[in-house]
Amino acid sequence: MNVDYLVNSLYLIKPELAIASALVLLVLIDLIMGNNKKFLPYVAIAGLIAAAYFIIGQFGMNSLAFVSKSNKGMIIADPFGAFFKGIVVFASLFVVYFSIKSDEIKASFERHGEYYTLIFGMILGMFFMISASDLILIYISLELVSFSSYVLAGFTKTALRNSEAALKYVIYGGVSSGIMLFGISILYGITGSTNLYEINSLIQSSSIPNLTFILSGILIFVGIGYKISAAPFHFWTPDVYEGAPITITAFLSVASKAAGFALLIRFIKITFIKSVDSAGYWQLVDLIDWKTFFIFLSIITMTLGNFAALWQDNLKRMLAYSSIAHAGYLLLGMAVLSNQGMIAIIIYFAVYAITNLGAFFVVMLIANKIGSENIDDYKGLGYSQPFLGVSLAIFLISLTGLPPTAGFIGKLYLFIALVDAKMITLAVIALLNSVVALYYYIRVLKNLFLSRPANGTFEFKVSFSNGLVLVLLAAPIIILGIYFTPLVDLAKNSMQILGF
Amino acid sequence: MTQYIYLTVLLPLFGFLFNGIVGGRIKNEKIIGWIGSGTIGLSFLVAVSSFFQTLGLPAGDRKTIVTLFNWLHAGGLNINVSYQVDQLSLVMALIVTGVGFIIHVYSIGYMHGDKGFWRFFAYMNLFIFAMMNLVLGDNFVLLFLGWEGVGLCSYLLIGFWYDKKFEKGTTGDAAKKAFIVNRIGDFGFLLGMFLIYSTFGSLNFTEVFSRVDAYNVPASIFNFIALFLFVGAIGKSAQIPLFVWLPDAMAGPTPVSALIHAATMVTAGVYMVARCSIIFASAPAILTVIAIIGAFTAIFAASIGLVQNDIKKVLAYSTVSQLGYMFLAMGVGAFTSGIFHVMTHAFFKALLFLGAGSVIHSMHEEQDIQNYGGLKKYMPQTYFTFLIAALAISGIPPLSGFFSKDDILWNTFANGHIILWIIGAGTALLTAFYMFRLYFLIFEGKERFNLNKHPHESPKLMTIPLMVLAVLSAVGGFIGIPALFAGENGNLFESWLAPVFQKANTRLMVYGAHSGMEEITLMSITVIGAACAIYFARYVYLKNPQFALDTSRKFKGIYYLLLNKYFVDEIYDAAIVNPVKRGSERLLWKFTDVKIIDGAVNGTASLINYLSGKIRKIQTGVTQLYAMVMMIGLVIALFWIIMSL
Amino acid sequence: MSLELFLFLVFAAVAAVSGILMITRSEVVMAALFLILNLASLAGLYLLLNAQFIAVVQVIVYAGAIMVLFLFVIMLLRPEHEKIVTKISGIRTFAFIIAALVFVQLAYVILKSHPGSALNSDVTASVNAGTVESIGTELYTNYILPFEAAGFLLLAATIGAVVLAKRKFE
Repeated sequence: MNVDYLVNSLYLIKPELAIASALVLLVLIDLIMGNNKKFLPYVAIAGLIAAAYFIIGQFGMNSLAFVSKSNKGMIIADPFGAFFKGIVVFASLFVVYFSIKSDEIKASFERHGEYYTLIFGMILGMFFMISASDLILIYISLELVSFSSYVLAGFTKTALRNSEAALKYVIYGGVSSGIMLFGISILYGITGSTNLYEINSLIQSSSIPNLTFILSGILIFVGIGYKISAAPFHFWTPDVYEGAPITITAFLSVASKAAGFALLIRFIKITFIKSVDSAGYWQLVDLIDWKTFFIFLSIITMTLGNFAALWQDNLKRMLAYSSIAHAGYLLLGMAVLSNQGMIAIIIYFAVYAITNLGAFFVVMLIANKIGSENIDDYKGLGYSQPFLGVSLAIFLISLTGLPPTAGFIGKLYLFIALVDAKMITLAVIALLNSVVALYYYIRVLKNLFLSRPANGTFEFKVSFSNGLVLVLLAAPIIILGIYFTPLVDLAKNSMQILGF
Repeated sequence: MTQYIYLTVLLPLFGFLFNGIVGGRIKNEKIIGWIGSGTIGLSFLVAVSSFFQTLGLPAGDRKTIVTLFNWLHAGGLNINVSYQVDQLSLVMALIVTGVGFIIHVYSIGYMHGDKGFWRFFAYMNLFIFAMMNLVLGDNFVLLFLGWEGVGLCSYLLIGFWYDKKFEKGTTGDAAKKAFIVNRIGDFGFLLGMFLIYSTFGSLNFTEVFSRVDAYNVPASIFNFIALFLFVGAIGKSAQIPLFVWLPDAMAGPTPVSALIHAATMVTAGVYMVARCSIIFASAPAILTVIAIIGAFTAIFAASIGLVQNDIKKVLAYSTVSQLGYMFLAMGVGAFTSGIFHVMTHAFFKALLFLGAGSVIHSMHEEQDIQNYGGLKKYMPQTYFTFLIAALAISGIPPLSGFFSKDDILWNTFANGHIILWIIGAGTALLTAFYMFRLYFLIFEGKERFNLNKHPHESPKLMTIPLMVLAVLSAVGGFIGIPALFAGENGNLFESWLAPVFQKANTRLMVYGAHSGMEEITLMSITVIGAACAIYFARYVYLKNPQFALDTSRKFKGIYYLLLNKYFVDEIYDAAIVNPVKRGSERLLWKFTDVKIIDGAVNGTASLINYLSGKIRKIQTGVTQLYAMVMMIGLVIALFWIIMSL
Repeated sequence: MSLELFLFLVFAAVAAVSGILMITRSEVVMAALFLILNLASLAGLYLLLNAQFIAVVQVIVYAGAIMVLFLFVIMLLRPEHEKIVTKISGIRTFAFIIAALVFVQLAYVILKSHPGSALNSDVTASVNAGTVESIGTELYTNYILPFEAAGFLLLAATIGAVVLAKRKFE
């Protein structure tokens, strides 16, 4: 252990350092400035921009940090991690902006310091989740994200559903992280290592008691499945999404899910891979039949999500179910177990992030004014607020996956990956699911444009900055729906995971 | 400028966006009109400079591909948004932007005061955008997108005055008819595209056409591809049996008829056949079918044109007839002549329509030629330009129509299709006759209208475009003077296009040995015939109107048959539309739809309702239950693991 | 039967029985006391595994600090006035079956595959690994990053506790 080792490693975790420093800074500024909380969001934005700058640098990196004699490295700096960290920072920037504008958050003004600190706690945890290569760090980062989000889910003091959501979140999170920890302990017990690369080389060379090994793999997946809200570990999602403040819901549905998927992909690809063939298909170690596992998981997840969404009258809750369904689609990309599937996931996720943020932003702007998220209260919005109405329509159409929006491109690449892997049945099931999804998204559109508004419901003006942010979110959806080459190039570039 | 060819596509798009987004707000006709026309004018300039740059290159290197971006690359499918600049696409681009620009300028005058002025220019610009994609695209996908785009614009513009009465319904019905008939053709085109992709593994022109030789493809496949593509062309270019939409398309504003339904869009089918000449040349049987359909469409539509009384209807049938000529040319392997006729036809037919528009304008929307007469002295410029166009379409030398029409007929004869030549020559006589019937009834003789109407010459914005087109109609043919008269340079137009069709022509092995004497004899026959027909028209409609009435009485049966357009619409109604309607009502709607589909849909819907109701119940809000379901999931997973080992 | 095995059986039996007793008591204070017993026997098990440091921490932190906190909360809330909810008995049986199934499956998996067989037992190494010194060295060298991350985790937890507590008194 010498200083060089530390310095070389720190160089590779600059984004994490930026976020950690911003976190500490937030705590300090909150203490020093007392009741003047105006600066906090700007400090947060500055921290995020610094992190974004360092993340861009990571697109060119490909190395491990904190490598020592007894450990093959704790954390990875590679384009894959950079992409997902980028998604997290992108979402965080918007969420901080949303928080400035949200009436819900404004109401608990005196606790803003804690609010932003906890958001940064989540971001830091997600960064570690995305790039960790050691089970211990993975577990701690998961807990860091979970703890911060438990509190944030119950952050606003007024609503009763807030506390309920937070409590459910804690219990459910506790159970699944317990199961995951059990899995990690078994895995350590049979391999003697917590490092993913080391485990990979171990299971390729020596004989491992396979039944126990599979058991540990499945148990670890429970913790990840809970983060990405895959069925049957998704139950917390609707309650928490509905109960939490909208800003946090948006954050959970985009950033938290991004980190979860990054962790899942990294865990599967690093731990179980044997080789990648010339066509880009992953040959996994012959221990766990992940393919079948993901196929069933994705079918159950998207079907449950879509069918339950049909009934929802609360837009936030509907979007919660829709985000479960989207997790199902993303798992389809995992089931392919190929580079093409991974590209599809990355494209899909980039689109999903923009779209979901936009949809939640519109819901928030409307909730600010009319205090409701009920679909029936949106009647005639398209007439009295054409700008908001059309933007929401764009977001919902993109979530459905219809052209000419970017959502279509995401689905298109996913289906192409499935068809190329000769998984036609799965593609058909996914397609049928999209049809079901169409129904509940269109239901909102119908309320927006085919019903007349009650008098004076929507008499307010969208401010210039809100309008600008809305355009920033809506325009890429249309542009990427027509000209998507840069997105595909980015995905191909971001597919690079260290080692394979 | 060739590398900036995409500007010819993007400028109209800009015009569309500008007029579509802010046009409705600014309400200033000058700005809207000049942005709308100016963008097309600039596109034309880009096309012209690309033309001269390409002209400077050696004949073998005149194909440039300008790639904007890679649009879709997934699996084996690779589609670029890229534009192919070669001899053929340049000719089409020049026609579309040049004639398009003239018609846009004319429209500023014609549409003056219309409440949908901005909408009109937005649609027109969108049309040019789609049309440029169609003619410049370097792959079938872009061609198809343009193809659908122009179809959409055609629909929007036919129904532009959507609440106006037209024949038995509204213009909206005419628009729908055009749209539906075109769908039939598009379906064929799509099938052709799929077949091309599955055969050649690409949709890129250069790749597909080079693989025609390289791959060993059975002749039957070529026949199917060519047939499907031709079905697409039949729909778009209004050939038998799908021509019925074009006469109805006259419900739109007259500049629309001039631009879309005469000069450009309807020739897309001809362009597509020319572009895929190598595929069609590999399917000679289909080429013969094309020639026969073209010839019959030509004479069939011309005969209907003889007795129509609506000025635009006559021109519409004339367009169908002239398109028939173009397909005749394609069918006999005279691709160059066909494209040549596309060009000259664009000039004189646009001129005829715009002249008709000018007449209709000054006669306060009166369209029946029985109520015109003697307009010569009221609108001298319209009269003179219309006369030039009529002479051109009748094939009187040395106007443009003579050269192109004669080229087609000569090639038909030279390639051994004597019967088709007779039909073509007969059509030429009929054309001259009905065109001058139209001319004499409008401009000569006595006024047959209430003089209170005060017909007047149209404003300069409308007459100057007429004059420009008149000049083009008059001299446009000189670039394609037959090799026989042209001396050592040969046929300029033919040698310009020769590299594009070289492969197709070597496949077809056209041209037997023919003497120059034969060519001159045939030429004289058609010219003298046309002159006689004109004289006859003058006799019948100017000197001795009684004769026309007597004839129509004597041949009552034929007259009514022609007046009612061979009852084609009625036959279609009786044979296809009504049975389909009734069948769909009885079988599809009352049985299949209500019983089976509705039943299935409702059944599925209620099943989904039921299931999702159940699924929703799992989400009770009791956290302990959630944890339990999660454990059940774990139990199942473990069970699966234990069983699978 | 070696002493080690004997001690293991004793600690394991105490842990299991006290665990069952804990969740079946209706008296909250009794349940808490059984929990202490359970945690203490776990500390014994850690000792048998040469994990001295963890055993000590287990006693100090869980049996000491956390349990005292529990008892304080119980005394403050006076739960004897609360009604015990027993209405979902059907679910309870079902839950019991599920739990039993998980237990059987796990037991089957572990017995079937002898997970310990893959590793060689090295007594001295394992004794050394369990010492405070080796844990400290590992934490501050190889595992410095997770250690720091855990620091942030605690910070987040503290702030979270403050937020929740503040809310009660606002």
